[in-house]
Amino acid sequence: MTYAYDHSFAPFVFADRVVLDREALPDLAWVSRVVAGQLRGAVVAGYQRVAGALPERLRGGLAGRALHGAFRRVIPPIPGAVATVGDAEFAWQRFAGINPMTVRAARTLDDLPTRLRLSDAEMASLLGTGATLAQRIAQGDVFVQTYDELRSVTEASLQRGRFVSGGNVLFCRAPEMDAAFEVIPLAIECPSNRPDGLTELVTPRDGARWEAARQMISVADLHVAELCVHLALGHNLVAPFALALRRRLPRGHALRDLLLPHLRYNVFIDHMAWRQGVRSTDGVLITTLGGTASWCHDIARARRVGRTFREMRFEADLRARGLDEHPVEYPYRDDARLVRAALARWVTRWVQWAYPTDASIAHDRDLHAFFEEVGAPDRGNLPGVFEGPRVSGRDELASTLAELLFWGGPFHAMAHYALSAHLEAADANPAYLLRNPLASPVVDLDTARGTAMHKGQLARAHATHVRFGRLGDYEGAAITRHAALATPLADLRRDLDEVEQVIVARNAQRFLPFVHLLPSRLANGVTL
Amino acid sequence: MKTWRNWLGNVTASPHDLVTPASTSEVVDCVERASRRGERVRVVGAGYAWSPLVPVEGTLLSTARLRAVRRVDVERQQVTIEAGATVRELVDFVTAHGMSVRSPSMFMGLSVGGLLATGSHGTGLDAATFGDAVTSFELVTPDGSVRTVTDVDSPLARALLCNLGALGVVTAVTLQCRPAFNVQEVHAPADIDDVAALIPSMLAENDFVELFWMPPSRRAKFKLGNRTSRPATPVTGRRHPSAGDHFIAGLSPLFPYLAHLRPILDPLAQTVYDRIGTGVRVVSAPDFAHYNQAYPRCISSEFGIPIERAPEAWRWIHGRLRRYGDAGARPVSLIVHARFCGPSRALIAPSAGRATCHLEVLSFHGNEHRHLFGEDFDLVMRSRFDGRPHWGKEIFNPAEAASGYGDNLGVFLDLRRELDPRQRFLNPFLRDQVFGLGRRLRAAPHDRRDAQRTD
Repeated sequence: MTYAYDHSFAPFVFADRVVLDREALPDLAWVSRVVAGQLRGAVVAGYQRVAGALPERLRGGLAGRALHGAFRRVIPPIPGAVATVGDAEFAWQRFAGINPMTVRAARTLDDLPTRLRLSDAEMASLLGTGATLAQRIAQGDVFVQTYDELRSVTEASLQRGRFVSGGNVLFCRAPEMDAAFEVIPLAIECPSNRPDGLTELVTPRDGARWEAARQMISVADLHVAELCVHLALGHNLVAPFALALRRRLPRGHALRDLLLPHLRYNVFIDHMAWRQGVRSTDGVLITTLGGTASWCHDIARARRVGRTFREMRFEADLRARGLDEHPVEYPYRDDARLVRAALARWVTRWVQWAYPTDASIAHDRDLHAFFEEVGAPDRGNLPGVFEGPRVSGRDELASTLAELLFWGGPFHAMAHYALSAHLEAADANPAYLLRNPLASPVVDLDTARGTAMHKGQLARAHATHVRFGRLGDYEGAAITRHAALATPLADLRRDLDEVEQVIVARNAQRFLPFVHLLPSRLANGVTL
Repeated sequence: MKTWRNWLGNVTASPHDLVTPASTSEVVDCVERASRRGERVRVVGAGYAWSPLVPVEGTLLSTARLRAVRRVDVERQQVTIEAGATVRELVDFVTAHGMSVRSPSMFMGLSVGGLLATGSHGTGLDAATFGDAVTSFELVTPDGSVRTVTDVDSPLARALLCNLGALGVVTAVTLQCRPAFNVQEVHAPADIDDVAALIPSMLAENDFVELFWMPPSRRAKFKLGNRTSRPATPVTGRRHPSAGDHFIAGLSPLFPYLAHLRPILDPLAQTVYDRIGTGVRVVSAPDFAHYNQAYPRCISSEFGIPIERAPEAWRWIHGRLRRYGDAGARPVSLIVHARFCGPSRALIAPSAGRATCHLEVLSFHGNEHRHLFGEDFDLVMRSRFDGRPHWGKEIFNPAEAASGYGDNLGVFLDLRRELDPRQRFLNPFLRDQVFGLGRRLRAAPHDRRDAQRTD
């Protein structure tokens, strides 16, 4: 029996069933880790039920504190959270948080939504310098973040009693200011309840309204991170390759041996995640978000529809957002390049070994069938893997495979574990709000946030914070049987160790450490 | 992750690490470790501040084990003590050596470091903040080095007198004490309508003046003190409250629920009020200064205003609270309290550069009307009376809290930036709300020799 495609979440694909395939089914080691995660999630949920049932005064008193202390001894917090507690953290998260892929550099005023085109007076009051917005744009200092995917939100899009909205944010890189991080948020455009339908513009000078607007953006960002970054890119971008591997690459094929450690669990995990987590509103993932399943699906699709694999490649994405060469401190970009370079060196040497000449690529029918499968609309449905209809030669093959290894392993790990760390700081980083905190003249952000006790995000974070395997560790994999690859594999592991040291050194100088691309925290592929 | 809360529970934190070093070298280790991890550091003493100075998600450094007295020089009337020592430990020690502390806080549970961090004070025009008596600081800077600051007129020393924990960790100080003395203490009731007019004469005629009023009573009370060579009579229940005192204070969590039971509540509150003292007697300086250690669960806001504005400000508070009372609200359910101090050398203490009236309003925790008056109080004290909020008490408008210091604030922030360019010793409350650093230019350093006391 082989795998067939489930296109119900088009343009994404899943396996329509789980095939009893020893290579695809998780082994006992994996299952035990996942079960441990589920147990942790259950303990968290149980604690929150008990603590949430306590009256407020008891919860904050001796009994509540004792209960919390016992809970934390059993379930230590997930490290690496950046709580959205201040402007510097808010700005930092755009470049080193759960969603580092929405912020873009503004090249002209037209790149900014109309409401964010601040006047000279507004700029002066916020930055205290004479530079106008146009001047700052010309200097390359202005960034914007728009949540176009969330623009379609209506009341019907949301789960009962939950609130999520889109918004737009204006940032300026201003090293002349005495800020902890060089990028400063200047203004947020939020939806409002105004009868004229106009949005509200909020700045850091607006006190509680600014904090509320910042929180709304943080919630919007979480939805894009979960649905577009983690799901659409981290999982679904490589899913066609995982399925095509099993349908088109015979056992013993060199490419299968290369890719299997990186794509081993995708088919199973994506199938289960779709059915149990994403397909319906009561799915374990969707239920922790603010929107219905239908709306969440639309958000996830938004990044993918009409785009090819080549357009979504790492460097292409950076170029499109004007951040490929930008001097701004951008840990996602800078650390990812280190990891990618290590993978690229390894993959290049593998290609040289597997395909001594470009002609040998041309003659590999299985290879071409594999990539054709990936791109076919009725199968993998991922167009534009190569510049032409087929891989042109060794260089393009190496480049494409390195890209695939990056998305399937390091990128997914970054997205997945950054999310669980983010969700750990549940009070400061709620997954959804209970209402629009700007709806009334008097802002009550605490009420709009609700308490973490009544949301499933903490349990979900702990249930899914499961690590398995390590990037560059191919123990037991077929690829290690080739003596000629022993040295390149060892070099890969050494490269990754050196990348680790570089990132650790960088983190000592950064506003906050960015840990989610440390090679020691990355896996070969999707493991949950 | 650990959890921490202040004494009242209105401020909580969940730092990644809570460390309690026992020596200066251990403080250095903690600071360096946090720096390697890229973590912010905040220092906590006894945890009595009502404002969110302490919360941090990185490393919370407690001075609870830094309590040693390192040196005493009776001849020069100086003591060197570590920053985690409490006021009680300090006062007991210096008293045993025939000395007394200048301008200590009333409550003895506070830490020496906490007093310095917040510019805290006692009462008496011959003293300013507690920190103004410091002749030498030992400071662990954010980069882990240890500095001894002895030039008390230097900008750094003046910054350390009220440092908000933003300059590093003060691990020890040398204090200039004075010979122990006794105080003739007089509790003089006054009709509330006469109080404002009496303040100038009370200040002119007495060494120490405090003023108490429990709204909506018609009677206020001056607590007056004058140095005397007459022997002191021992007073029980002040520095060492009885079990009964603690019991009544322990009932205070119930008070918000019993607001309608005025006939029961008012006598209980009156008990707290009476604990301040009555009549005339000669007491030791510590008994005069530290008259109530059984603190009910309350929350306080305080502003330092120019002393000459005190009568006008008092009239305003009285009038405003009477209007609230007429409307059935009682936002200050405990006490309105005034103390009077001399000008401080500190850069950003409320009494920086001017003799100051410290006006405090206290309410039982859970008072539902408190916020209404609090914002009112904050706005009027700042805008009409040139007031500066006490850093350790509840601050209703943090964005304006530092607005009354003129050039001194710039000097302080320059020093802060020099010592801690990566802002490791700030939390978002200080960084974003109080200092608004994201909206300040990294200006050219101020000439610190010319840093003017704002008088």
